[in-house]
Amino acid sequence: MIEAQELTKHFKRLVAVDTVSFACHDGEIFGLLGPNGAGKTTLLRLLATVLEPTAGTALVDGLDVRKESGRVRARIGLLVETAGLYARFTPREHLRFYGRLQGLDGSQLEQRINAVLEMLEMADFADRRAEGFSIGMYRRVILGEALIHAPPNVILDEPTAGLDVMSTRTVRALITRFRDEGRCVLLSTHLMGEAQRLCDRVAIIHRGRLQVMGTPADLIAQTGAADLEEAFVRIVGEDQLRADLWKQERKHRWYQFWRRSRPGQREHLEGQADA
Amino acid sequence: MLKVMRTIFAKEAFDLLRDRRALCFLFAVPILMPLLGAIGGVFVMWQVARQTREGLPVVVVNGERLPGLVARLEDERLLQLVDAPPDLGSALQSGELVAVLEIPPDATQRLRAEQSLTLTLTSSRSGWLPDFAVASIQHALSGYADEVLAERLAHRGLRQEWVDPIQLERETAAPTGVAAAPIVAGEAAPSSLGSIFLPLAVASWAFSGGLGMVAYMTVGEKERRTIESLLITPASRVGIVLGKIALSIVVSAITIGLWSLDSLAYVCLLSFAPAGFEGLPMPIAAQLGNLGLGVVWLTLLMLPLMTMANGFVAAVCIFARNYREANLFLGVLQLLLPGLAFLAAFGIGATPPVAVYALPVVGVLVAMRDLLGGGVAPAVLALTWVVAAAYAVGAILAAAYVFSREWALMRGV
Repeated sequence: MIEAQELTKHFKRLVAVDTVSFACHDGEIFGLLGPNGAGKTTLLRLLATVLEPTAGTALVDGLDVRKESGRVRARIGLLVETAGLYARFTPREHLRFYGRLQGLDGSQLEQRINAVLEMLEMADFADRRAEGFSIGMYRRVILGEALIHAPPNVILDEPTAGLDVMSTRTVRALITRFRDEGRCVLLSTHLMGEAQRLCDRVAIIHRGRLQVMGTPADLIAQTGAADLEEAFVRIVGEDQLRADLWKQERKHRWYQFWRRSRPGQREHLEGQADA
Repeated sequence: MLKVMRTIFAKEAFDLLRDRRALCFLFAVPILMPLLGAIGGVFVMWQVARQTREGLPVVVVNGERLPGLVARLEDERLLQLVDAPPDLGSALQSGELVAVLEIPPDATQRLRAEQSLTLTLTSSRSGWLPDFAVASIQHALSGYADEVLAERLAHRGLRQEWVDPIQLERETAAPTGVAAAPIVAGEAAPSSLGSIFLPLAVASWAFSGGLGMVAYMTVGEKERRTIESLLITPASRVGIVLGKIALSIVVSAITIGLWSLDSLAYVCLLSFAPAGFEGLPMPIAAQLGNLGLGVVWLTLLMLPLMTMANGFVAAVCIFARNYREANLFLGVLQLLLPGLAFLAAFGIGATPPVAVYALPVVGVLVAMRDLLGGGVAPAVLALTWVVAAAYAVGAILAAAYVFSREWALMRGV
């Protein structure tokens, strides 16, 4: 189970994640939706202990990410959207390397490697160097790295980005399987259809803040939209409109202030404009 | 942590062994470059030896005017005096002759009249064989001129001291403490060249050997976008850094070892130089000096310097956003390094205060300079080593600290 408690992250003056709270239960697929730059990846990095929260905290199976980061890392598998591979290593060697770093060894490690290779259908290219792999092959190896230690909590950042139809179906089937196995699955995606089909609950994040949370059906009903995509546009769009209006209001106030404080210069500039 | 270190070390070593370009850069250059140099050296020596056997053909015009000079020229092993061909100019141009020495017809009379004498030496096109011939002719001429001068002095009842009123006798103080200075002709003679250039070379080796490796292993993780996958494992971050630095130290040590073997190969080559080279062949023992304690100290001093260099470079590279930024930092470092080496060689006096030996990098370089120069007390060497080891530990801890900091790790990610 993953539980965010008023999680906040600042990068200097930028508030990337602003007091976000939610809980993702075991045997549940929880979707994080949001436009680009909403703070989804930062939130996932906070949960995976890659980043340290500025305020608030998160619990993974009851372990605090601030205080017990090492134990937390052993209980999560994170699929990073932009992760890369070692070009001169084969998928089997990648899995062996990350398995060892996860504390596995000997026959247990080899069993897990074979299981992951089979689960992700990587047997055909298991002993080929990663140089020149297709995006689908790449993603499967990275997913394998995240799953080598059979983590009870799986965090997936855009797991189907760039994949063809067949690979997408395989990955989606896997995500469903994780839920059926009782794992906690946190899924970040841009694809509303995918979220609607897979997620038990979703949360929409915009400008670092959690806007709404509920089942896809709830959000659709709340907004009166036809599907989740339209609901998302309405929620994010309204917020965007409010933000734009506020920006315009601020600009107007500055203009009024300038007119009052610099009358001489204003008249001069306005005279120039008239001429 | 040891298991993490071992895993990271094995992974990096495996990656390196599969990277042909990195292997070439690290090991092929120190292996092949001296080999090519040695082949060139052997070729030059072989040519000189062949010419020494056959002699470089030289014509002396009007040689009967100065038989003493001709006798000296005949004694020169590199020269072979031959009869003048009909056309001297074309013989010189074709390479049939290497040089022509022309003695004026009135040479005997001028010398008897105690007048000065000008000889004309014409050599064939420029190159190292005519240069050898010219050097041999000048050597013979200098000896003959001394002979003529001695005769003139005797004729006037003067002694040699009248011409050379002041003599200089040079002696070198014996090294104090531990010294690895070369011993020439059984006398202690600190090698000024060694004391200047060896610290510079050692510093370069220490920083350059594993430098590329460290950059590849640290900022390379960011460039390949593998750093996050590494950070989300429960592996100790100190263990990860130590594993990486351990490999770079091993690579540095191998590189330094290869360069040292190269130097040794040159020393052996010089000991087999054929006759005809000034001061050569030189016995191996004379070139290496006090093998043993001095060299052991050199190696001991090199280890912490190398470790510190790798730790420091690792810290800088972990902080770097990408390869370009890392190269910028390393470029500055490489500019700074010769400066420190020259400071150690020229800027610090012969007997510096003990505190100088405690300075980072400079302390070790000064100790090396003294080891190769006038010698240094074992206590000072021990102090230098302890302080350098502390700096090395500090550099590794700095690298581990930077590797655990979000502001460094997430730059450029």
